[in-house]
Amino acid sequence: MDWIKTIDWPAWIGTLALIICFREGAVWLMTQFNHPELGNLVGLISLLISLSIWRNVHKLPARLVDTNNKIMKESAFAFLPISAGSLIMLVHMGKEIPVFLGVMVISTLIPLWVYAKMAKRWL
Amino acid sequence: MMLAVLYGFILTLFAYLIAKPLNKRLPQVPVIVIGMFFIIGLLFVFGIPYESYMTQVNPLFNHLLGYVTVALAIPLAAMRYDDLPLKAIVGILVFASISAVALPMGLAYLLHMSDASIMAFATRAVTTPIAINIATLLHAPLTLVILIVILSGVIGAAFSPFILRHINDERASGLALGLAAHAIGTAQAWQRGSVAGRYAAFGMAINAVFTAIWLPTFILYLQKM
Repeated sequence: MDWIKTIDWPAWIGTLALIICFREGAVWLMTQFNHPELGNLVGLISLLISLSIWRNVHKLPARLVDTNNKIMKESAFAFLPISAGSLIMLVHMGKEIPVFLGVMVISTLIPLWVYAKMAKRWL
Repeated sequence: MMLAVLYGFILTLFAYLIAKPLNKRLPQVPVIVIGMFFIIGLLFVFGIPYESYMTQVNPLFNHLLGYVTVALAIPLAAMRYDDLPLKAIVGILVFASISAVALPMGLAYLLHMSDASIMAFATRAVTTPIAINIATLLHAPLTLVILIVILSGVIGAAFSPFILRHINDERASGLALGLAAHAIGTAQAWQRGSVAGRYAAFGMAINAVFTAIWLPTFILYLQKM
């Protein structure tokens, strides 16, 4: 159980509280304007602006960035239920599947390769 | 009801926790792809229809998706921008945003798909929460939009180890994953490492915000003409 002692609890609680407060605050604010669907985007932009101001005054704490890296590493979990649904919906498309999948594969993988080549050359 | 939500959450967590060690053995297959097959398998074993599972867990996972979106602000704020060539980055972003809309819409048009399907392809490369906003503005069918966004993320993440195997630059690989495969690509980039993850988050967020501004404006302008 030693791994529990190695966890940086204040950093975890602080990082999670920061993310939850900004997201829920932005959703609440946008609900007042009848656009709750814009809450996540507003939360992202307002946290980005706040942290950029913080960064100009004082260096961003490395513990915040490290803890967030750990959270982002597990972010695939949040997409699991909806991703499983997309697989089921695809199966139900019937004879349209080959054309649909063809468009999806071409329009995703060619850009992925082209953007990576461009970025490798120009960055 | 609370118990049903808890069961749904535990089932998802279980699928994720067994997908993770398998992903360590098969690093070519993204954890999300392994996990979604486990979820479908577990739902089948327990005889739970996907619709009732989704009804139970959707409110909770909507919150989690929101937190993941907002959490992207932290790597973006922590990134060093002073060593990035601004002109090149802007060039790549503009090219990516326009081509990510034009290519799938053009292909769908050439293959004689319905107008609604063509419109649904417009937001292929934009992260789900923002794609839903754009699709609502464009009157595109939302379920199809979500399927396209999720599936393109899964395809991009699943084939990325193969497509990016000769790139040998984690900044370029990350940026391409964020631009071409949005949040799922970004989750996959974090599996590669924090450099790829940060660049993916940057590409995804900037692409989403930029597309959310120009695409509805452009399409609504065309419709008014």
